[in-house]
Order: sequence, then structure tokens, then C-alpha cells
Amino acid sequence: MSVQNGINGWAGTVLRVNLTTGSVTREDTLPKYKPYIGGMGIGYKVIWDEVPLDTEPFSEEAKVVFSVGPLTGSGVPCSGRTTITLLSNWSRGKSIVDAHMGGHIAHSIKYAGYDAIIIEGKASKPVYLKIEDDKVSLEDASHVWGTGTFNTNKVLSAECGAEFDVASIGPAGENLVSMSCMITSFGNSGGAGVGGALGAKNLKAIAIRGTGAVKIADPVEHKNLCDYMIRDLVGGNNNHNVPSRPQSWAEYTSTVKNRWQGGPGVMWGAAPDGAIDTGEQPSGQIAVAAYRATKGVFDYGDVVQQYIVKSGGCASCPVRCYSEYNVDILAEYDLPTLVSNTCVPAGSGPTSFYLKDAMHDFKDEGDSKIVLGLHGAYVMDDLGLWENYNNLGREFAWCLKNGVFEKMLPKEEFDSIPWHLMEEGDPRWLDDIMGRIARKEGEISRIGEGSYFFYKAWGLDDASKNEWGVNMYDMIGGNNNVTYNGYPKHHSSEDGWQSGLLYNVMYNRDCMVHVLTNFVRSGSPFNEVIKPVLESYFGEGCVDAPKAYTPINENKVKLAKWCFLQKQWQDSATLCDWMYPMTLSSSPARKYVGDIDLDAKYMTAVTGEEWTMDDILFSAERISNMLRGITAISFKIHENMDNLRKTHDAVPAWVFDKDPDVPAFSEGTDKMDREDWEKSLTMFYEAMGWNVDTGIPTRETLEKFDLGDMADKLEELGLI
Amino acid sequence: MSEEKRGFATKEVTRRQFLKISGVSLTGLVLSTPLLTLMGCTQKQVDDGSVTTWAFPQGLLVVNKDKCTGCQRCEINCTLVNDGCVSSYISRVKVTRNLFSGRNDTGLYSDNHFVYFPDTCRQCAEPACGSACPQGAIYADDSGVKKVDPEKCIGCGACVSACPWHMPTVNPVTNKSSKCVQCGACVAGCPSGALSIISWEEVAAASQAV
Amino acid sequence: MALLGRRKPGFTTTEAVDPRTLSDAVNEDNIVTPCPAAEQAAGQPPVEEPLPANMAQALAQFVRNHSRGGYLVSLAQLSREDPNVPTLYEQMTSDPACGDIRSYKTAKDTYLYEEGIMSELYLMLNALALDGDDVNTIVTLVRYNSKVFPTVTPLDYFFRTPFSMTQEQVDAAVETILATGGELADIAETQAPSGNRYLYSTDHLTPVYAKSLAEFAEAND
Repeated sequence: MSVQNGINGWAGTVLRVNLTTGSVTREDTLPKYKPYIGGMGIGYKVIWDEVPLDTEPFSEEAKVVFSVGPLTGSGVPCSGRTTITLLSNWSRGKSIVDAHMGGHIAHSIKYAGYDAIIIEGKASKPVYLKIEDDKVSLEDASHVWGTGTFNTNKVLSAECGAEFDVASIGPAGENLVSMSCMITSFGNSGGAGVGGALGAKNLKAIAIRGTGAVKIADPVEHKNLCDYMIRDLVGGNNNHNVPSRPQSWAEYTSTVKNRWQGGPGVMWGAAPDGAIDTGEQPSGQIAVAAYRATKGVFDYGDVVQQYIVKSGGCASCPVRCYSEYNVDILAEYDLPTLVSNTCVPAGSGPTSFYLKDAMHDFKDEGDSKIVLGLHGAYVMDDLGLWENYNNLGREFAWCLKNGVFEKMLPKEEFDSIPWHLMEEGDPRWLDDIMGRIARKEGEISRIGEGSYFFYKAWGLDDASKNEWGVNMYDMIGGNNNVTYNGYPKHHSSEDGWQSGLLYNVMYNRDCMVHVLTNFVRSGSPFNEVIKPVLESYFGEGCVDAPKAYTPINENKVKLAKWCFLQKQWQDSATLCDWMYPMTLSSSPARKYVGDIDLDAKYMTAVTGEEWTMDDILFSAERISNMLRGITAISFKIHENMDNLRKTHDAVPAWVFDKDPDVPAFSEGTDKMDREDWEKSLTMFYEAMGWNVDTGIPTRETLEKFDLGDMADKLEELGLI
Repeated sequence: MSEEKRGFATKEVTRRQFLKISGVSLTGLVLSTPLLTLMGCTQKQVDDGSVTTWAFPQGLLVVNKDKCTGCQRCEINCTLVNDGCVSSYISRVKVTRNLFSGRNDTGLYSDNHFVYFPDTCRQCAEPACGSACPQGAIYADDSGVKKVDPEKCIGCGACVSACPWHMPTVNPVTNKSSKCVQCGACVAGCPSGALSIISWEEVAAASQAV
Repeated sequence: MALLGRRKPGFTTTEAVDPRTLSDAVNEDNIVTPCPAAEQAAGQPPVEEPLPANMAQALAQFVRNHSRGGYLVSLAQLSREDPNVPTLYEQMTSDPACGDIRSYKTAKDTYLYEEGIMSELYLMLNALALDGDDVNTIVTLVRYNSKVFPTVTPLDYFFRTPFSMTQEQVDAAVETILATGGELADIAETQAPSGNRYLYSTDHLTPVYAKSLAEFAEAND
């Protein structure tokens, strides 16, 4: 019998599991967590209240919070997301981070009756957490400990029952590797060190089934809103609203490589009973939405179509941003042929482990990325490794190219590594090298500590400390570090001028904000669509044309703040960070105007309370200030730093020094200008109500959001 | 080729032929190109069992396994429309049961990771659910759709046990059986056309095409 | 009647069913549904489409059928096949019943289409493809993209429908364009870091800007 407490939207219960004592307790989600909404908000509140910020992130004393929100499982398109909140073991300051896991398990958590599951303590031996509605138990996991995530998920699913969903850590998490994740469905993951945080607690997996329901206050209106979103607003992946292939109804086609690659003649070539043509997918039709992304073609080009079985993705989502493949070539190497993933993990991540010249075509021109990339995705997922938005890969690639391993590894270790597999472009290279990282085998596995500690260990963060004279943070080319904290940019100034860079530096990991890149790279024309629509929201000058930037202004700052708050909202709601908000739409009839009030309409229909976007963004701003306050405290505790502006938010040189022949703010570059950047930071801090010298929230701002206790702590530490 | 095997290649569409396409046994039936186009599939997909069809009042329900992408929106739409809440367990169309560890080693956690699809009510001519119901709560409406009368249902679960595919579910909140009423919400909301309905007029027209 | 051996002892309100134990086996006789709607449709007489009143209207219907499939009708081509077509076309343009039929004129031909089915862009792309002048197709689109978006145009754009050019066709056309100068002197080439080739119009984009846009067009993360 499921937990039913008659609340609209929220499940109503926060579950707390103590692995040390085995105790299972429950508390009501509301009213306590209402100001934090759900998801990220609950996670941050729990960590703030209950985990001292000097706690070792991979320890018995640390906590890991799995949480979802009022919209999760409500039927809202693209709401199948679970937020996981923890302390970072690997980025400078060891501060708070959140990971975001897709697949289907978010629904199971809600249907079982929970808004959050707090993991505390440490089990004395490997266990998995089994939840079936109100039945919660810790089960023996010794039979899967040491095995990969795919085996674990398969065994536990068979053991628990067909309708259980499962998420597990792999050897990387068990071995407390910082660059680790948790895997669910087939290739969906939550990273940022989640694997290690759970491995340190001997928690191998969670298996969960729910027979309950998410209660909706106004189901008729809510169904209308869901249909409206899919029918009239949504485009392809990243809500790219214009198809790449000419379609008879489409007024524009994209010449920028965008994430709407489906079209006439683009095939799911490996569909079991005959290739399926993705055809036309007009705006205004629901039954075609799942064909738009056909993401494999974005990741690999047309040559991949023969391997695409179908598209896949998260619960409730019509976009299907994963491609699911059968790469039969891998059978020649006795490797699994069924693989699924998307974006960096599927392509540029794993292929970074080869020298470019070592990669050769297998059957068709250009297919090395497919064979090596997809096998690499499989290996990384099975090991439960995380690549830090490919900082891991970029670092490995740089070391490989510059003969760094030969210098830094003990000779015996260097000689033991089968480099010939890499040189031959053999997919089995990835099993070896990634296995070493996941099992902490040898000095080479230090790369699994994450950029910040890895550079430190090998002296790569200081040109005077290594024989290559390099500072990995500042170098131009092959480097995406957006701060000195150990994580790369994720759609920063290269897509979104100063606005993009501003929110990129705010987190303790690569940021999850896709709001800007979604319309910038949509394929819509800048002059006819992007500029007029965005200026109608935020005023003149809020957006720049690609590679033709202008100095900072108030409206760009307004836009930056809005994008920043949206991510906190989305990960609290929960909604997919890759899709929302509906800034643009795919509808020619709407002149491509989206609906940026839609999220509030969902909240109103689901909860039965009147919600506006202002209400939502106010809560999001509260959570944003928690992120900032916690970060300030962490930097003080771990690094003895008092000033976030000068440390946490410092931007590496390459962002300003790239394209040396082209001046900033002229056509042909996306580089930033140092003076303009300082001005941008100041304006952003002002907009957020933060001290402009330190970038730390003022007491006045914190108290506005009922975070007076955080102000007290900051004052105690001399930070405000 | 026998008269039955020619199926829609003939101009005359007999009642028996219509009844035949109402079941699973499309295999071996040669379907006309217009009908295959309407169904959005190939003869191979029909012959290999990837495509199954069921008779709904609105038209022919076509379930195409190869097109299901596991989004679970069929369950979402079913319960949103029929129950005013969202759930997998009480959904009358069931995909989650096949999505993780389905039968015959299918589903994301099996070795056939990408084989998953929705199970739909078969609207049996002589429904086991109806026969098993001690209250006679399952009746056929004017269109022939088998429904549960909530006034009569006592939530005993006999229909669940009796159905060979366990399609009905007793709703733990209302304590009533929920079974498919062919409302078509699952079809209307499927973003990949894995579930689609072809109206009977279109089926007839395609069948009559020379 | 047979319950197919599935009856379980006793009744339960909720039952943990393992769907993996279900069978796909079907007893066909029990499955057949006497669906009234299906029977009714089966009993209807064949649907007859109304015949056009005259040949000019038949031409209009011909155009509509093609438009709905995403195709334009070439007046020149059709006139070659049927010498009556030019006369029918004149009649059609003055018949109010054919008011939804429009024409799209290029230097080479007139194309007919039904209003409201295809986008303006698709009409342009289709007409270019049908004109069959690869050089003009590429030049027109390169200039259009450079001006409207602004963006550079990848050469593989022309492999896509409705152009479906081959690599050889594209290479030959591009070589001609770049060598011609004169009226085509504004068309220039740039490359992305990947080596992929892009074209742009210097009437709208500088070489430095075009190069950066080629990089932008491919950036992956």
C-alpha cells in the first residue's frame, strides 16, 4: 500500500535512512521544505542544516540527498529528473554540489511516496536500499559489490521484481574515486562524485517501486498545459526550435549543427524490423515529437544512422535525447554491441583517450568516433566513472600528446600499460585505461581525483612547477577550465557573451544552465527571431549575435540573473535543465515565441495554489543565496579565503587572451575583456544583492530570504 | 493464395477479415500498401510481430514495438484523464512492467535493452475479467467497450487474477478496478506514434484501394 | 469458459504480479472482438472522390495532390507532357474554384503549388532544386543565410533533401562559383577547425567573422 497523504504535487514525505544504525524515519515535507520547493532546494536545506561544511565528503558523517519536486511525476513533459545533493570531494573548497540523474527513477521515488531520501551514516558491509512504497529495507549487496553498474542493475532488478527501478554505483564509486557517478536505466547518470559518496557508505544501489500516484489539483487544465507544451511549444533536444533538414512546413532550417537532426530520409537504421524514417515533424503535432532529436546524428554525423535502433531518454519526456545503438562492429572485439548515451560521454569524452592519429576508420569513413566513443561510454558507465564534462578527457589528451605520462609515471607502471592498444585505435584500450582510473591502480589513476587535485599533484597548475611550463587553467587551446576551481565551462561566453560566463562561475561544478545556449544554437535566425523575442522579454541589447559581442549592459545582467535562477528552479521542480524554460517555440504561427510563464501555470494546475513566475523565482533566488553562502563558508574553512570575487569567481586567462589577433567586442571572436568582465561581475553582484568587493551575500539579502542563520555563520567567520 | 490470406489485397472487405485484424494474428496476412502506410509500418514488422493491432471503437489501434521509446507518457495520459492523478500502477495501459525487466528477457535491465513496449487491453470478446467478476461489474457499452461499473465493483481483484495479462488494477485509493475504456488518451499523447489509431473509415478506404 | 489456467487461489486487493511470467500466447477465438464501429465501416459502400468539373479544375487538383506531398509542379515539364496544359493553366487562373493555386516564377520555369501547405523557404528550396542549376542553388542560399541569420553555409547542406546533390556535384559547383568572379565575386570560402568547408557572402560577412561563424557552427559541447 503506497503512502498517500492527499497533497497535490508533493508526495508529502521525506525519508531518512541511517546506514549505521539501520533506522528508517520519516518527516513531512510540508510546511518545512515549502520555501525550498523540492529537489535542489530540499537537498541544499538538508546539507545546510545537518552537515558541517568541514565534513569529509566521502565519509560516514557526510549525507547524500536524493530529491524530487512537486512537478516530478506529475506528467509535465521533461520532468523525469532526480537531484542528488552532496559535498564535493574534488573541486576547490570542497563545497556543495548537485548532480542530476535522469532515466525513470524519479517517477518511482514520487510514486513510492517520497519527495526526498536522505542517506546518512555508513553500513558495516555492502548493502542496497530497497524501497517498495512504505516498505524500506537494507539488503545484502555483497553479491554485486565489485561488479559493474550494468550487472548490478540487472541482478537487482531481477531479484526485486519487474517494476523496480534501480540505480547503482560501479567500481569507481566503491574505490572512492572522485570522478564517479551513479547509473540508472541504460546510460543515465548522476555525477559530481556521487559514486564515491555512496561507496564510502557501502551503499551499492537503490531499488525502488511505487504503486502510488501524484495528485493533481486541476487535472483537466494540467492535461491541456502538457498537450500545449508538446504540441505548440517544444522543438527538438535543447528545445532547438528549427529543424536541421529542410521540412515542407518549416520556415527556417539550421546551418548551425543543432539538436533537431531528424528529418525526411534520416533513419533509425538498426530498428529491429526495418529502418524507420524519422520523416517530417511539424510543430503542432504530438505524435512526431520523439523523432526530432535523433541525437546520434548530431554526435556522429549521418554515418551513424545504420547503428541507431531507436531514441530513448527520461520518464515523461517527448524529446528522447538519447540514441540507442547496436554497433555490431564491436562484436569483432568480443565487446557488447548494445550501447546508449548522448553528448560528451558518448563521443568526445572517450575518444579523448586516443591520439588523433591513432584513430582509424573501421568500416565507413568517419566511424572511429562511433565505435570508440560508444564503447567508451559503455565502459565508463559500467565502471561508474564520471568525466567532469570532459575535463578528464582533455587532461588525458594533453598528457598523451605531450609525453607527460612517460615523465610522471614510475617506469614499471608506464611499461605495464598496453599503449599499443591506444596506438592501434583498439576499443579495448578503454577497458584497460578506464579500469585503472576506476580501481585507483597506479599513479595514472590520479587523474580520477579531478582537475583541481590532479593538477596540484603533478604541478600542472603552476608554470614554474612542471617541465612543460604550463598552467592547465590558463592555457589557450585544449582547455575549457572556466574557473580555477577544477571544472570546465558548460555553454559559457562562447555561446552567451558575458551572461553565459557570469552563471558559469557561480557553481562548484560545471554549470547546468542551458537557457541561453538553447536559443543561441537553435538554428533560428538571430535578426528575425532570437533578437526580437528575447528583447521582448528583457529589453534592448540583452542578446548579442554569435561571435559579435558588445560591452556589458543592464539588460544582459537581467538576462544572466534570470538564467541563473532558472537552473535552481528546474532542479527543485524538477524539470530538465536541457529543455526549460520554453523561451522560444517551434511554432511559426506563434512567430517562435515561447511561453516563459508556463512553469508557473504547471505549478498552479498541479498544486491548486496560485503560483506566478515571480513566486517561483523568489524561491529560486533563496536557493541561489544558499549556494553562495555555503560556498563562501567552504572557501573559508578549506582554503582560508575571504573573498569569492577574487578566488572562486576568478576567470582563467584564456577566456580573455584567445584569438589574439581579434579585439574583443568585434566581429569574429567570443573573447571577453578584463575590464568589462570586472564591470559585469560588479553589476551581477548588485543585481543579486551581494557585496560587490567579495561577491558574498549581504545580511540584508540573506534575511530577505529567511537565511538569517546563514548570515550569522558568515559573520562568525568574518566574511560579512 | 487463399481468400483469407489475400486480406486487404481484395476489394471486398468482409466482416471476417475485419475481425481477423482485430486480433494479434496479422502475421501471414498480406496487407495492402495503403494500409501499411496508414499503419506506419512495413510488412516485415507485421510478420515479425513487432506490430500488433486491436479494435477500438474509434478505429484500429496499432502498437509498434520498434517505435516505443519508453517515455511512459501513455501511462501519464491514461491516469491524468481517467483518474485525475498520475500513476504507473493504476494505468490501464502498461509500459513500465516491460521497461525495466520485461518478459522474455526484454527491457532496459535485460540483455535486450531496447525492447520495451506498452501492453494494452485486448477488449476480449468473452472477457475473462468480466466472467470472473462476482458482482457482474464489468459490462459492454454500446460500442462494445468493456467497462467497470464503479457502483458494483467491490475491489476484490478477481478481474486482475483472471485476465491472462493482468491488465486491470485495483486502485488502492478508490478500491475499484480500473481497466481500459478505450478513451484513446494514450494514443493521442504518444510522441513517437508507437501507439496510433487509424479510423475505420480510413481502414476501409485503404482496404478498398486497388 | 477457459481462463487459460491463470486463476490464482483466493482473491487479493493488490497483487504483486511479476509481468515477466505473463505469456504472449493468444487464443485467437477468444480475442476476436465484434466491434460495432468496425462492422459499420466494413458495411459502407466504397468512398468515391468527387470528379473535377472540368480539366482546368483537374489540373488544380493535380497540383494540390503534389503540394500535399511536398512537391511543386513544373509548368514547363507538364506542358511538354501535355500540350493542353498551357491553355488549362490560363483557364485555371481565372477560375475562382482554383483560387488556392499559386505560381512561383524563377528565371527558368513557373512552379505551381497549393497555398498554405509549404513554407516560403521550402518553396524557394524546391524551386531551386527543380531548376537544377546547382551554381544558382548554392549561391542563392549562401547569400540568403549570410544575410538573414547571419550564418555561413556548410557544403553538406546540399546533400539534404530536396537538393540531394552528390559530393561530386557540390564540389564541381563550388569550384565554378569560386572561379567565376564577376557577379559571383561576393561568394567566398572559409573553414572550421575541423577542416569542413563553408561558404558565405562577403556582401554580408567579413572573412574574420565568417571564419568564427564556421567554428561556432560546429562547436559540440
